Amino acid sequence: MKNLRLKAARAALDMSQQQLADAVGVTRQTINAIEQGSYNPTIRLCTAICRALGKTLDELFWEDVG
Amino acid sequence: MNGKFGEVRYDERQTAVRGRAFKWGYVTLLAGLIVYCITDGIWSWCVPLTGCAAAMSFSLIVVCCICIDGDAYWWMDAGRAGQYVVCAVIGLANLGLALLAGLEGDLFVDGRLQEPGANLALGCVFVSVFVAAAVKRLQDREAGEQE
Repeated sequence: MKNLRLKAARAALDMSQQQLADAVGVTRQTINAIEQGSYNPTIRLCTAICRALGKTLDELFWEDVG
Repeated sequence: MNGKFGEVRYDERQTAVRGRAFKWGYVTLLAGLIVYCITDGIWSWCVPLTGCAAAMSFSLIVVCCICIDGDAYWWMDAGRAGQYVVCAVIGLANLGLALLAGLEGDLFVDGRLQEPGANLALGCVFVSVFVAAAVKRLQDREAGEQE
């Protein structure tokens, strides 16, 4: 499932995938894979992304079930 | 981090992709060796060195293609243009050596593939890596490196 909240949060800060990738120390393809929902990041990477975007884990990664 | 060979670094997704690639590469290596042993036992088509090199080459192609498809072949900050040139040069050099051996009649002796066949196998590996990387690059470009 696509992570549109991550994409929106990144876009709100006018950051490119590459800029976010550089900020958290991964490749651009990894950020793209997370946004496309084809890769589930570790909690370590999730927190790094949250810090870089100024969001909480809930705001970016929590999925409401049902 | 400046892309020096001693500072090779992969991120967590790349590490996972490479793990999967090594698993399938290992399976391919074992399968290749089994196929070589069985077929060579039946009609003796290849010397052992070349047979093993061919099995290793197949497994390398599998590893490399899975890594390239998952954007996990080159490490972060790798200068890819140089890597493409190195792959192409090594591949063509090995294919050239195999071709020379073929022209001199050393590639097949009594219907049996000889040691220069290892050059042929290695050449195929590097050319395959070059082609797979080039195709992947084209696909990425066509996708517009979309975000």
